[in-house]
Amino acid sequence: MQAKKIIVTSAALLMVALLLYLSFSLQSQYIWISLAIVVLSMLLLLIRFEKRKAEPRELVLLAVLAAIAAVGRVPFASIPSVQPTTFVIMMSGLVFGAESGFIIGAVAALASNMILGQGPWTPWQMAAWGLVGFSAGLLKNSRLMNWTWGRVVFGIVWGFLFGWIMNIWGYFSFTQGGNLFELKSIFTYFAASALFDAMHAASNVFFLVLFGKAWIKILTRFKRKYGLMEFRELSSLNIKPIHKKY
Amino acid sequence: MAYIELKNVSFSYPEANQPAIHNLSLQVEKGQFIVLFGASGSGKSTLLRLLKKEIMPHGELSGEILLDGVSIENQTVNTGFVFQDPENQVVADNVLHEMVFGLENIGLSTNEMRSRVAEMVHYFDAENLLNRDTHELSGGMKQQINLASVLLMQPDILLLDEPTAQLDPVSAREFLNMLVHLNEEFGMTIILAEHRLEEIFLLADSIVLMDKGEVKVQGETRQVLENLWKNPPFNKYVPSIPSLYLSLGGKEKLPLSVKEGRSWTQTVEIAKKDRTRLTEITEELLNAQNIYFQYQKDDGYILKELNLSIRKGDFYALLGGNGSGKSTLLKLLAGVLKPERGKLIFKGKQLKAWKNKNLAAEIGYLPQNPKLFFIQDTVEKEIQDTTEQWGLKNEHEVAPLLEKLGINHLRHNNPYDLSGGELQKAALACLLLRKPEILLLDEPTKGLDPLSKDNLADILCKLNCEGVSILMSTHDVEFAARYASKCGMMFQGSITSESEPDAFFSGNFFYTTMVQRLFRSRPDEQIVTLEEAVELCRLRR
Amino acid sequence: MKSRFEEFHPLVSFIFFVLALSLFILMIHPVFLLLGLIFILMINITYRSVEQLRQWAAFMIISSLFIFLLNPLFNERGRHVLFMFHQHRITAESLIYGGMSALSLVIIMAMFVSYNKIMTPNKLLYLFSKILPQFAVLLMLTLRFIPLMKRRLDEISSIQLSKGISVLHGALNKRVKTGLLYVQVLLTYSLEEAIQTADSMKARGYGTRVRSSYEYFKFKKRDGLALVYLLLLYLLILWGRFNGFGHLTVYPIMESWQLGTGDIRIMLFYCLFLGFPLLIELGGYIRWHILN
Repeated sequence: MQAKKIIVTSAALLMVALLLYLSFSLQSQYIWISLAIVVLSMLLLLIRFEKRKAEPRELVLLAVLAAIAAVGRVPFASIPSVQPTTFVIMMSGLVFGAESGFIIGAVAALASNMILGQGPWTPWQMAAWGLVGFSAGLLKNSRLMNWTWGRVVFGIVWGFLFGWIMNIWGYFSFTQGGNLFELKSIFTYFAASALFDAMHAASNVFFLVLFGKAWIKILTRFKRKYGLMEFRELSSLNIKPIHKKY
Repeated sequence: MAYIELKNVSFSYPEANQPAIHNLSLQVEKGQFIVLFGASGSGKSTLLRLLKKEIMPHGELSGEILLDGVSIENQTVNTGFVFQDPENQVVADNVLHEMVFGLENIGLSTNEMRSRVAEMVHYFDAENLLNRDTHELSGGMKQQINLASVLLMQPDILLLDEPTAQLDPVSAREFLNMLVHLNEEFGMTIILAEHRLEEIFLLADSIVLMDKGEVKVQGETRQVLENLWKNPPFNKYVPSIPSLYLSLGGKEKLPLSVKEGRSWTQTVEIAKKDRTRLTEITEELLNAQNIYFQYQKDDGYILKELNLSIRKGDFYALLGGNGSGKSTLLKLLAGVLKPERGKLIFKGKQLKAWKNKNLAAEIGYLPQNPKLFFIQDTVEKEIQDTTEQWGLKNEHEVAPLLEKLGINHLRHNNPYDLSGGELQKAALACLLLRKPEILLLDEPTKGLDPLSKDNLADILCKLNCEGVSILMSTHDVEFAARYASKCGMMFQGSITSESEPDAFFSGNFFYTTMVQRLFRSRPDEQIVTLEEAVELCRLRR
Repeated sequence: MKSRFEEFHPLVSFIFFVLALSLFILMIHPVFLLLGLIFILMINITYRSVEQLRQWAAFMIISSLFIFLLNPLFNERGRHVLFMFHQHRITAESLIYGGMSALSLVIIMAMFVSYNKIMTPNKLLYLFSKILPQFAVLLMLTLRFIPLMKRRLDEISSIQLSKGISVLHGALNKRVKTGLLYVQVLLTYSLEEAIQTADSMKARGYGTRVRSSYEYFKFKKRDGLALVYLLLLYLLILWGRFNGFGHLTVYPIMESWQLGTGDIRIMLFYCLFLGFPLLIELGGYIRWHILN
C-alpha cells in the first residue's frame, strides 16, 4: 500500500514537472498543455473516487443519475435546443455533493459518447458537465443555492459557461492551438454561440424555477432511502465514513 | 438437525406497525425443494432475505436462524439469490460481463472464471448469447442469465423470490424445469416463492403457505391442499384439477396433474350442457381494419393485416405468445401509436380524427406497469390532478369509487408503497373518473396472487355489467376462460382465431385450461372452466 | 471477419490512436497533413467505416470550411497581402494557416470515426477496469442503464399520452414542462427499482473481497512488439519535431513548404507510424495467401 502511494505521488509530481517543462519549452502549444491540465485534474478526481470504497447502493445511484442525465434529452426531441442534462446534474450535485456531482456529470458525458461515438469533444464535455455537478456540490450549503433565485443565477451562469468551455475546443481547433490569441476573434467566436448558450441558460432557469424544489425533495428522499445520509455529511468534512449494514 | 432451521423468528421493519415475520419456525432438509406461497405482503420475500446475510433487511430481528448449524451472522454457506424482476438484477451491459460479475467479486482468476463460464454456458445452451447486449434479451432470457450468473458462484442453497412472476407461461415453465433439474441432478437445496402454483406443486417436496408473517400450513403437497380446501379463502390457492376433485367430494388420492386426473374423469358422469346463450348483437365500438405497424423501418412488421372488432359490452381477451404484438395493438387502439397502414375506427369516426384529449377521455388504457402511470407522489394528488386536467365536477364520486375498489384507505400513500394489485386499482380509479367507454388493459393479471386476481375479476365484471367494454391482453388462460365473453388468438401480428371461450379453448391443444385438458378425452364435451365442470359433473357412485 | 488490428490488445489500439491524435496536432505541415489524411482515409476504408465517415462528412466539411474562411477574417498577420476585404488585409499566411487548421480538424474527426469502430465500449471498459476498477464498474452500470432508461422513457411517454399528457401538443412552455415531468417519473421509478440492482450486486458478493477482473484480452508477445514499434517511432518523430522538422512555421515569417532531408526522414517515420494498422493487415493478407 505504502509503495503504491509513493508511486502514485511521484508519478503525479513527475507529470506536473513535465507539464511545467513543456509549457516553457513549447510556448506556442500552451493551449494543448492546458487541455492536458484539464485531463489531469479530471484524472485526479477520478482517482480520489477510486480510492474511496463505494457501497453498491451508491454506485447504482450514481449510475442511474448519470444514465438519466444522458438520456434526458429524449422527450425533448421535438423541441430544439432544450435539454435537461445540465439540470439533472446540477440537482444531483446539489443533493449528493461535489464529488458525486462531478462523477455523475463526467460519467454521463463519457457513457453517452461511448454509445453515440466519441470525438475530440469528449474530454471537454466530461469536464464541463463534471464541473456543473462539482460546483453545484461545492455550493450546496451556501446561501446562494438554498434560495430559488440563487439557483436561477447559478443556472444562467452555467448556461453560458458550459457553452464557453465547449467553445474552447472549437476555438483551439480553429486556431490550431495557435499563437494568435486575439481578443476580437475570441469575442466574435463566443458571440456566435451566445444564442445557443442563452437557450441553454433559459431552459436551465425554466427547469430550476418549476422543478428545482421538487427534485431536491425527491433526491433527498432517495438519499435517505439509499442510506447515504450520514455518509454524505461526513465526506464533506473529509472524515472516513462508517458503513452501515443494510 | 435440519440444514436450514428457523426457530421462533420475528422480524419488523423500522417504522412498521406489524411485524413482517411473526414467531416463525421452519425446517428444511438438505436437498429439499420447498415452495413458499401466500398473498403479496405475507412475508415471503422477507423470509427469503433473512436467509442471505448480504441482503438481510434492516430492522429488528429476534429468534434464531441457523444454516448448517451455524447462526446466520457467521454464515459461510454459499447461498444464491434470484430476485423477481428480471430487469433490475442485471448489472452489466453484455452477457459475458454479467456472468463473470459475481466471479470477479470473489476474486477468482481468469482461468477459473473461464472454465466455470464454459461449463455453465454449455449447460444452459447459451453460447450464442454470450456476446449479446443484455438489453436485447427477452425477460425470460434475462431471468435465465440471472440464474446462470448466480449458479456460477456454485451455491449450496438457492433462494428465489417469485422469479417467474414477470415471465410469460412458456418462459416460466422453462425456468421452473431448470430448477427441477438442479434439484434432482445436483441435489441443490431450493426455496422458491411463487404464485404460479399449478405447475410447481407437483415438483415440490414440501409446500408452505404463509399468511401475515406466519406459516399457516406446511407439508406434503396433497395434505396441504386438502387442508387449504377446508379453510377459505385459502381454497383459492388450490389448482383447478384438485379443486374439481374436492368439489365433487372425491375421497381417494388427490389428483394433481392432468395425467392423474384423466383416469378419474373416465368415471365421472357429465350432464348435458345447456348451450343456449343470450347473444345480443350490440353496436360496434372499436374497429381495426387491415392494420400494419412497425416500430422502425426495416424492423419487420409487428402487426400485419390485423382486423379486430369490439362491440359495446364485450369483454374481450387477447391471448398469444410473447412478441405476437398484443401490447402494440393496445397502444395503437389507445391512440398512442399510429398505424402505418389501415383504418382504426372508434365510434364511427377514424381514430386519427379524434383530438388526443377527447380520445383519452373515452378510452382508458391501463399499462402493464402501472407505476409509470403516476406522476404525483400520492394517490390523492394523482386523482386531484386528473379531475383538474379533465375539468371533472364529480368529486363526490371519488370516495365511493375508491371504496368500491377497496383502496380508500390508501389515498394518502405513495404509489410506490402499494402492492401490485393495489397499484393497479389506484390507476384504474384515475381512469374510471373519466368515465371511459372502453378499457384497454395490458396484462392486468401479471404477477398478481390468486386473491388479488379474484378481486380484479370482480371489479372488471362489475364494470362490464355497468356497460364498460373491456379489451385485455393476457397470458392467463384460466382467467380468460372464466371471465371473458370473447377470446382472440394473436399470432405473428394478426388475430388468427376468435370466438367465445368455450369454442375457443376446445379447439386449442396447448393453449387451453387445465380442466379442458382433463376432459379432452371425452370429445363431445366442451367443458372449459372449473365452474362449469363443478356444475355438470357428478361422481358415479 | 475481424481484422488483425482489431485483435490486438486494446492498449495497443488505444495508444496508437492517442499518439496519432497528438501527431495530427503537432505536425502542422501541408505535406504531413496530406499524408495523414491519406492514411486515415485508408484506415477507414480498411475497417469498413466509410459509411460512418459519410454520416460525419457534412459536419466535417462545414466546420473545416468555417475555420478555413474565418481564420483570414480574424487574422491580419503575415506579409503577403493577397487582397483587401472591407479594409481588412487578407494574407496568404492566414489562408495557409486556416487551410492547415481545417485539414488537421478533418483528419482528427476522421480518425475518431475509425477509433469508434475499433475501440468498442467493451475494450474501453476493459482498459478502465485495469486502472480504475471501481470507476469501470460505475461506467458499466451506466452503459447498462442507458438503453433501459430509453425504453422506460418510451413507455412513460406512451402511458402519459394515453392520459392526454403529451409533449407534442400545446404551448411551448407546457410541452417543456411535460417533457421534464416524464424525466421526473423516470427518476423516481428508476431510483425505486435500482435498490434491487444494488441488492443483486451485494447478493453476488460485490465489495466483500478484492475484486479480480476477467481478462477479456490477453497481452501477447506481438502486442509488446507492436507497442515497442509504435513508441520508438513516436519518440523519433517527437525528437525531430523538437528540432524543428515536420512543421511549417507561418508566423512571423513563412518558411518554404519544401522538405529538407531532416523533414523527409521524419516523414518516413511518420508514415511508418500511421501505416501500422495497414502494414499489419497487409502482413496478414500475405501470410494467408502463402499458407493457402
